[in-house]
Amino acid sequence: MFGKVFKHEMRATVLPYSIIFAICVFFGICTFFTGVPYEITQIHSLMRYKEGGMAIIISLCSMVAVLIPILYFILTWIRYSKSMYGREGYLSHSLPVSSVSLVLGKFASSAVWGVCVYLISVFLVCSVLYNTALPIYIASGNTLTEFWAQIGNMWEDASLRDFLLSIFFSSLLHISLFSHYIFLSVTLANLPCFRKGSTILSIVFFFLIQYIEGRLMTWVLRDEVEHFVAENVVHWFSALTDVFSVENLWYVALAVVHLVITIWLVKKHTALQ
Amino acid sequence: MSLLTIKNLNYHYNANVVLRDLHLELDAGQIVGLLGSNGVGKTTLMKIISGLLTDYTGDVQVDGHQIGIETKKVVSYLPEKTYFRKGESIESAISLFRDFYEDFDEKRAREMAADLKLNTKQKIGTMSKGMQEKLQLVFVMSRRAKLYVLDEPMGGVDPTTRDYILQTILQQYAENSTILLSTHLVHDVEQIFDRVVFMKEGKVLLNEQVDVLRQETGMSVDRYFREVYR
Repeated sequence: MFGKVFKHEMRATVLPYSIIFAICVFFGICTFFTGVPYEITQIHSLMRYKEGGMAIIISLCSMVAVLIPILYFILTWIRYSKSMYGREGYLSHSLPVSSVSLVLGKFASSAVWGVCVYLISVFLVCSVLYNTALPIYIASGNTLTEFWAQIGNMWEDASLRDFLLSIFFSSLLHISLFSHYIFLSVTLANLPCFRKGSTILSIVFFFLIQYIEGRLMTWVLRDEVEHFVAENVVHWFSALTDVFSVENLWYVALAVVHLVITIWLVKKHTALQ
Repeated sequence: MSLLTIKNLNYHYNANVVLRDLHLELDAGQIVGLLGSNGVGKTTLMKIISGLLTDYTGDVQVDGHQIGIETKKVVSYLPEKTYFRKGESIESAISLFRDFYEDFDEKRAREMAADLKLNTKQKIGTMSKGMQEKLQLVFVMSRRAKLYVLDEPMGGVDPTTRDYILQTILQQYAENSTILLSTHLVHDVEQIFDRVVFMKEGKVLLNEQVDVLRQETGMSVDRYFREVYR
């Protein structure tokens, strides 16, 4: 049943994400091409002929890159609230599906969209960087081939590459699993003991959970704990040391705990009023 | 064995006690009217049977199973509210029911949708409220369920739609299944009931066959209902 929940959840969310992604790809491609000189692409860019056109499109692209994770956050929030505690909840909760499949199916769907959102954001950021760096490089008398060779050289630097990969995977993990905060906050706010103001309550719970975990994090990240994890846990995943940092392991553990609590609450304390 | 068995059911809504020590047993193969004035707990009871409220105390069994996945497989629930996504097409809703309910009769659903002159590609949000309610009833009645729980299926609809709903319920009703139907329009519906359950103050006040009730009181169900809830 997990697969069926996942399938229908993806189907329910595909339209808004498709529109958002289409807009993002459009901006990304526009930004990419406005950065490439005409001599190289032989493509006339109308934006480049206009005074400040390039600056506008770079600004727009940067804004979209920042906005898309926020939109993902809002869409995930709305979707979970509506499908579990809105009118659609009458259908969701009467389906012959366990609360584990129901919550995890929705979580998997939002994680997939999280990965897509992250990759699109990275694409937009890369477009902006490309747009700004390439013209300067070409203006200095270099060629496009030299530009890519330079990028290749930078990638050869193991420490820089590992650093970039570590940031990439860490961010990917955080955004793809982020919905566990939303799921738990919304579920808590819709417990039978809270009858009114569930939206405000869910926001309160969202920040409260973050605050408590921030405090816990400072305890977890003590030197002795970090050393213990490095020697006993990370050691087993030496090939993926960057991914399995203490922070990431902690984050995954929290996601699991939050999902377990959410599933338990959905199973034992569902109350659609 | 009874199809629905409820013992010592209690449910409270913060400080308000909605259901108190409720007992009810219903056999298979009958149309049961769940009647009572507003706020007596009819909807709450139906939600509990359908698995939408889980924080109750007491014992509720459908077809020998505690409320859960097994009971949801045999209970077809029609809530007061329309629950399909506005952006969903009828085709998509058919796919959803086909995937989740083994007893969903897709052919029957398509035929009933065609009778309503609905295009399966049409988005549900583009339909009128009355049409959405009809469509939801089509889906609920297209299941070969053991227990149909219909919460106010005729609430707030025009007389033509009311007739359609009644006709659909009767046409799709299989003799071995049970329909539990709540309504305030007792006069319009009483002819289809085999049994009526009167609720008052969170309890079952009366659980009797319609024929027996008429014989004993010398009144129609509607008249007796008005006497009781005056």
